[in-house]
Amino acid sequence: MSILEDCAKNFPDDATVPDSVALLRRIPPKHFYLDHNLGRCRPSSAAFEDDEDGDPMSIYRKDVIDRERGDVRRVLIGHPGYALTTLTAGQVRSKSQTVFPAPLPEESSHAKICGPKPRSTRRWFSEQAVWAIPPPGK
Amino acid sequence: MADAVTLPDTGYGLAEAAILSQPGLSTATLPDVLARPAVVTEAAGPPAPTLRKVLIRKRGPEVSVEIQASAPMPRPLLKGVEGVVDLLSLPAGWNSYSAKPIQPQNAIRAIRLLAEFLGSETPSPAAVPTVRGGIQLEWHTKGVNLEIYIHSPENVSFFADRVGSDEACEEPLAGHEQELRSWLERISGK
Repeated sequence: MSILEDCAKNFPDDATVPDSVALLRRIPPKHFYLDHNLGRCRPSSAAFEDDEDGDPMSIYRKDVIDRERGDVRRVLIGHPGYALTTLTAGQVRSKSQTVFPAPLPEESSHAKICGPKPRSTRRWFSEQAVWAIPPPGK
Repeated sequence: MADAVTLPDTGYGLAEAAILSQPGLSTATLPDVLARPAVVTEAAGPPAPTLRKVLIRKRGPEVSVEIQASAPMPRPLLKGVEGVVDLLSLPAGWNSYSAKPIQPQNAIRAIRLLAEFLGSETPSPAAVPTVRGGIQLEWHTKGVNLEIYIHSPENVSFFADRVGSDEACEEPLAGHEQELRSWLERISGK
């Protein structure tokens, strides 16, 4: 089964999530640095890999947090030194990814981004990502 | 401030008995060792160093690193090595998900690669951990994006492109060493 088939079967795209929705990705301290070419701090392409156990990449839906009148900073609770970056649902779909809601007991906005993530896609994500909460001190 | 440091041929590093008595390797440990007058002396010139020995011992969360070099190591190289060594202290799940600890053999490969390819004027890379225990060495400067991927000691590749142009390449390192050197020279300003 190809990755696309596996994603379509086990992590199907939820078309009710509009392309405009911001998807938040937690970025650990070792995954951002100053890009002298861009003149700003940005996440590494390494921050956009699927989990080591093969589980698709986790993100958090800002529309769910907003609907609950929450604050995106709740995604970083318990993770000092982390930053929070965003891609839109449309951006990840343009790279053959599905957006699959996967609420957790502790975080209702949790979702999975499923699809092949070759280095070129991960680099593109890292270049397109916009900070929702920049790295501390940056 | 010295432009380079000399590492004694007998080697330097962290005495295993000493480091194993500490809770773990901190990011400051390697620089602290390098800063000791007994092991750091100024060098007159920057001949390319050869790493004769790179030894990493891990016992649970405790890590010791021993490196023997034959010649002065330029500061950018030392900084790069420190960045790699720093990754060895990352625990499982360091990314808040399920990331693996960095595999010591990948760190050794990265250190040897830095010693082999970095010139005295090459800036230090960002040493970036990957979720599967690998290491990325990254430079984003002087209009060039250069990323070296170390998935395992045998599986090393690199990507490079020039900002604002179609010039780009992505190759395995084996057989393309000269191409990598060419990209590194560009960010070295040569």
